[in-house]
Amino acid sequence: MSASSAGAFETVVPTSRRGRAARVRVEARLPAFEGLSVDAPAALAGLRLAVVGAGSIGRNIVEKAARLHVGAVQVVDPGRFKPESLLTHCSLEPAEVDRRAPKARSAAEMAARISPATEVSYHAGPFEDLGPAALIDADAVLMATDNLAAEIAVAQHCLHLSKPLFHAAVYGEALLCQLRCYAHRPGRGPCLRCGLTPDEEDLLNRHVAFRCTGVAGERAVENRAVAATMSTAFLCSLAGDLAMNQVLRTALRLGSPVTDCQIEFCGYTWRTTVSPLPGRSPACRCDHTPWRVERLPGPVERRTLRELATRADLPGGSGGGSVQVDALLFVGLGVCPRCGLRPVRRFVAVGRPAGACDRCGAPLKAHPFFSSRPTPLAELGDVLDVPLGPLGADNAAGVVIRGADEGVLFRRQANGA
Amino acid sequence: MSMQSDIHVTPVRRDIPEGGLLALDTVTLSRRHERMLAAAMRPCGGPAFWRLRKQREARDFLALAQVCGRLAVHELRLGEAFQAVAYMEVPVPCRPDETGRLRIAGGALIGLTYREEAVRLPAPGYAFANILAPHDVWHANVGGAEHGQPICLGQSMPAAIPLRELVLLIYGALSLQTVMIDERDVAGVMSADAARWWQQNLHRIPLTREPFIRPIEKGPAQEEARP
Repeated sequence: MSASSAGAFETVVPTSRRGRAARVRVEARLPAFEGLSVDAPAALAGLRLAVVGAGSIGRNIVEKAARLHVGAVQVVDPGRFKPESLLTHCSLEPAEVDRRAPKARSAAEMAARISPATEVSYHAGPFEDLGPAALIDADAVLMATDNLAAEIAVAQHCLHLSKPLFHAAVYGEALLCQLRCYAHRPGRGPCLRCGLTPDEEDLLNRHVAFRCTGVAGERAVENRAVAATMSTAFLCSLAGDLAMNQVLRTALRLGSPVTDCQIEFCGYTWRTTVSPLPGRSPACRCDHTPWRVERLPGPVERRTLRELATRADLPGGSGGGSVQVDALLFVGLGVCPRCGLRPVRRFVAVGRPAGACDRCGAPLKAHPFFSSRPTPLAELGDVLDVPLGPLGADNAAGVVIRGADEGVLFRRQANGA
Repeated sequence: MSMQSDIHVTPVRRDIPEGGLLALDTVTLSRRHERMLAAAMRPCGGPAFWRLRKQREARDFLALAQVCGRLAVHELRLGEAFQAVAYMEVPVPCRPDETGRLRIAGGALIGLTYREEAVRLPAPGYAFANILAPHDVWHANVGGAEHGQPICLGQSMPAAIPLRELVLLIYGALSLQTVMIDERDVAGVMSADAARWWQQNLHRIPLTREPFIRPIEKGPAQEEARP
């Protein structure tokens, strides 16, 4: 098993696509589902999933997706295994715990072993590191984390891209599995942030802490969950299975659609409850603006922001909106250790040097006050007419031009152009 | 944004609202502040809830500047994030001179940034304010000049914290009325050298006990100079 880098994601390359696993066909065990009206193996082979959180629930989702031979799986998780992971994570070998393997990589490699034909990639870091185009190819996003802040960020991402989101969770004390299904239809339907209760809001503020090292661009977020999720392996895998059942139903159009609802299974009462999720709140602090997705015309490094702003054709023209390129910062001024503040005026990855000082050549650091993401187009001046290549965004996967109530995500062409 | 530090707080008539800082929306803005707010609102971007929030925060911020008597707003930008450059009259500890004597500046030019995501999610305490001048602040909770002198206001700021609370925290931190000087705590100290120095000089803490809102002096109120 090896890995190659594709932007923020590492692609898992199976050692062989010719072994026994590669010869197994999904049809060999796929039932003739009642009411099936589509070519199930083809639909599954075309299905692309993103799984955020590869812990006890998410790992099970990744495994079950691989066993369905889906077309692609992207896995995101910043964590590493702990000895206790053996108690709740299915298909986990003690050797992986001993070497504190990253959860995302471990789950991705497992998926590639089970289904060598599935395109598998992973990001062993926080979801928040990823740019706006990171999950653009996913047909559905499945989320199972222990971090409410990350979940809000994922939900916000899905809202912009109008991606269906399946949020799986457990409440071990009550033997309860929960699945929230968000359709994220443009402009309507429930939103995860809207539905937060005051208790959850309080939890959100108490569970997130930051280290001061973040100021230098290091990873700075800590999840201070008061206690680890207390549950059993079977309850966690059941939550993952409920999520995969919904994904299968949606992909193969089985039964009547179940969207914008919460499904709960209680192991005490042996009851399953389906209830609607609360609608959008006018007081919600999420940006509910859906983005239009367009292919970047030609090679990204030759495009200018003015060209993209014109193409986006948002009300107010190029003067009224903002731009974001991947997860890059636009750095107006950087700090030189010898010369003080110096102009930068280009896009820079968080925590990376912002180029060299124009006076003495020393490496510049982005000045936080003079760096932005997104950046108002009106503040970019002549930068609007410079191609993205020289601006440090030659490899950009996505550029978002956002107006007051609309946005356009320009994505790179599939061949990288 | 320019970085002039030769700014001083212009005395204006100060009418502290009866409801205190929770009633800043009842303060009538001066003509200068009204113009500043109107100019900043023209390119106010982002989704509707954020535009509204920025407008409210900006108005509150200008009202706070009028009420407190120690804040001069130099620049205001609402294009994407809320950004302001303001001069705050507050004793600011600066790196000791060659003889080891602590130098104290009379104020700080502060760059304030409030990003849209800070309304949705908790944010790091160092994400809101940078000391733009003086350049050699000697403070356990202020990062080095190479990082833009961010001031850490705490481990984590709750989602949607009002800007006025951040301003009060900045005043408390710079004047050392609230300070964290345990250099072993990675979640508060941004300058270990300064933290150790202040541990040896606890008798100098705080630099002032004056409250953020200056008491109104007796005598005729001073009017803002109007062009």
